[in-house]
Amino acid sequence: MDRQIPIIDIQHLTRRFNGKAALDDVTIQFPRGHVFGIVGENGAGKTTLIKHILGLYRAQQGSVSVFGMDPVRRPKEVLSRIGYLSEQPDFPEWMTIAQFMNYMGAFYAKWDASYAAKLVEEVNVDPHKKIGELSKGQQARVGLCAAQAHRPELLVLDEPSSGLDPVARNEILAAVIRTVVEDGRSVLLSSHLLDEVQQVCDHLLFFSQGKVLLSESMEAVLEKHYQISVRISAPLAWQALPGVFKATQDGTEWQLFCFADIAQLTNLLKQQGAQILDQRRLSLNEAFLARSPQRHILSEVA
Amino acid sequence: MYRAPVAALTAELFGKNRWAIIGTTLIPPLAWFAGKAYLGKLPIAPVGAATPISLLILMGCALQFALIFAYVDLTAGSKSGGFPKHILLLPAPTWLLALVPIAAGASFTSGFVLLWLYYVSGVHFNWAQQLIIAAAITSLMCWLQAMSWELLPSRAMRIVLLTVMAIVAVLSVVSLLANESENLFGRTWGAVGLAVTAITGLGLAYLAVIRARRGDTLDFYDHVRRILFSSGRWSRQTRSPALANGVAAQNWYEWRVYGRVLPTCMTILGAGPLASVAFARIRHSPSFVLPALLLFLFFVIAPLVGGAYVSKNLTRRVQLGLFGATRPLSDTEIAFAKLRLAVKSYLVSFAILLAVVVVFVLGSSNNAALVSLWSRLAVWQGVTGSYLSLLLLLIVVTATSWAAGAYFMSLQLFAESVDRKKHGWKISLGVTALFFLLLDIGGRLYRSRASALEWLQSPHYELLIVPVLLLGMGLCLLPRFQSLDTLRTLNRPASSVGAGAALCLIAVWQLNLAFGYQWALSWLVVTVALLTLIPYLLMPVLVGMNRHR
Repeated sequence: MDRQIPIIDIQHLTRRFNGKAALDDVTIQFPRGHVFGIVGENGAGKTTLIKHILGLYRAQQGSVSVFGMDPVRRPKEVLSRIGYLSEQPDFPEWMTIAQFMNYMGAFYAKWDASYAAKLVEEVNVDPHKKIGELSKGQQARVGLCAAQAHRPELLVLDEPSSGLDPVARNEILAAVIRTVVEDGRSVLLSSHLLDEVQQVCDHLLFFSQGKVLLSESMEAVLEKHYQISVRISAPLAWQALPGVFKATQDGTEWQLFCFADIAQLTNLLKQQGAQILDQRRLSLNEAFLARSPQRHILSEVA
Repeated sequence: MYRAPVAALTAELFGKNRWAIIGTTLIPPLAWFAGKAYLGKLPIAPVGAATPISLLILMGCALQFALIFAYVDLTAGSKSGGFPKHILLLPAPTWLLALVPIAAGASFTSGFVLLWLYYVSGVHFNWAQQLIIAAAITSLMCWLQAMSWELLPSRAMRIVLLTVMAIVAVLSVVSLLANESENLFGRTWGAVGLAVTAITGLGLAYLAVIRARRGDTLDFYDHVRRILFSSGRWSRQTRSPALANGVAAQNWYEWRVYGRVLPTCMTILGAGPLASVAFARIRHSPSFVLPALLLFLFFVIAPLVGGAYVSKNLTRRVQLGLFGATRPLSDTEIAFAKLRLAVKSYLVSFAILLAVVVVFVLGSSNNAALVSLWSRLAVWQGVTGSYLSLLLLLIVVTATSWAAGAYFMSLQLFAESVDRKKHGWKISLGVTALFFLLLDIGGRLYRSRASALEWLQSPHYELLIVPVLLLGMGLCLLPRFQSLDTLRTLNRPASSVGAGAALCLIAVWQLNLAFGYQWALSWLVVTVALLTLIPYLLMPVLVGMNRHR
């Protein structure tokens, strides 16, 4: 495989439903060998993006390329290299687990039957049970086995942990890590469980209202998000400050939320006559709340 | 003591299903009045007699009543039946939970069947005979309830057992009702058969509800499986087939999910006529009503459940869920898996049906009517022409079935494209109004048939222009599939198949008048081939469009 070609290349992708933009001029590139986390509020466009990557949506504007191919024109070639698990998998409930793995294995040339059997054994369910007889968590874990057993180059997990207990969530995280340690493989994880994303992802995409607000390495996201408290008597043109994306005012005191080089920013503030009262690094959860348009609701709940 | 739980159960039963009950109750009288008003003017069998159509309505309504009062129905999709499962949580004795739905279903269905027999078919039974019929219906309700709870490992086995019990019950009733001189089995055996079906059905239904209420249905299921299938020959382990590749896997999947429904339907429907062959009195008075009814049913059911593409949710015939859409297959491979399923399902069903009809005709020991029909055809067309005509008839029937399938598909797609909560009642009213309008137009056309036939006796070549225009329109629409809203766009070409079929048949008529038999025959073959192929050709397009929206 050509490691120079990005595993996913999305250029100016726009998708509208009934006139409303679910994705608005999205341009992203995913290099190989990384774990990408997509976070965003409900309806931000995460699943729509994933459906474009899987070829289930045709690009209305812009282009989508996966492994250097159009997933709509060449679904067989693209999907055979992807492992996919959705939030609500609609697996055939009448199949037994053994039948399901047998059925899934037929599609993939690289299907490793012994690896599949080992994965199913780890789930600790009778392989002769029907899928419909399994709990939601067990179904997700079986689905994950099927998504991994052909050692896909790209593992796509769309909100896989929703409604699952901590044990099942750990299984999924373990699967992600297992996939990553193998050479050259990538994971795309969409989730609203930020601790989960922080734990396994090395690159983060903030999505909001169909737009990419931030695409950075996890390290940068955690190191460069700050909340700074300043006091200043003169008016503060915070929009002009580099990296400041939100500010709240209480008299002469300001709370600034930024994604920036903190030393450079504080120097700039001091030059404008501001007194730095406090500065602290934001957790991923706080950064998400600060960036989300629905932050006020979330903050109240929190 | 039991007033409160019975009231709660009744409220659950009738609250949820009131419209289904009212609708099912009203369909027969409405159909009867409609028949009186319109069909009664035509010189066909008098309305009110037990015609195949009236029998069909009777069977459909009785089945609907039975399913309304069942916990889980036996449809392909295994959707929840009319009686909600959460009722098992009500603070009521278990025997009430088992008996109330059975009693309600049995009384409604029995009352309906007896009233129908009395008022529509004019068959009069005394009280004892009515009780025998009600007992048979009650025993079938018991078996329906019992089979709803997975007492046997596969749905096919449950359906087969239910069918066997239905046959036993029907044979028992007939044995009890028939005159002694005409009776094949005798009244004693009839009484034994009825008692056995009723008692075993009731016991199994009660046992099934006990198990389900305790929440150990699955354990019980495994237990039964171990006892019945301990040899391992039937165990699930042996059922995973060797699948060479993705295409083979998809073919297997499609057949397992959708393909067996139509053949199963045909087997069940065919079991009735075959059972009736067993009666001596049928040998003395051969009737072609049942095979005719079977053929009629097949052509009605086939496009809906098997001819095009069958699914528990019929609108999914052309849609793909996430699971289906993410299989690593090309669109063409998925489409071919669906087409292969459709063809196989259709052919197997047709073979079953033909076998049933052949057995029935041979078993009736009287095929004079068929021989007579064949002789008349041979005199008219010659022997080769007769075979050719039969072949053409089969092709026409297939094409009509496919065209009807495409038409129903378009209706479903149309329904998917509108907000049914908002506009559903308007559509229902519109469809009802359209139905009556068509009936009225049909009546008017029939009354003016003499002048219409006179007009049609002379060739009108301009009629050929319309199919050509339709074809052109279809070709113009194809490139727009990419940009227009899928569902609305599809509605147009799919609906035009029906219109095209009608116009092409007019063209056949005209060609026959103008140039003779051979030209008409050629055009008929071309038309029928096109009509048969159009849905096939549409399928890859439909799959592609629904997979990549």
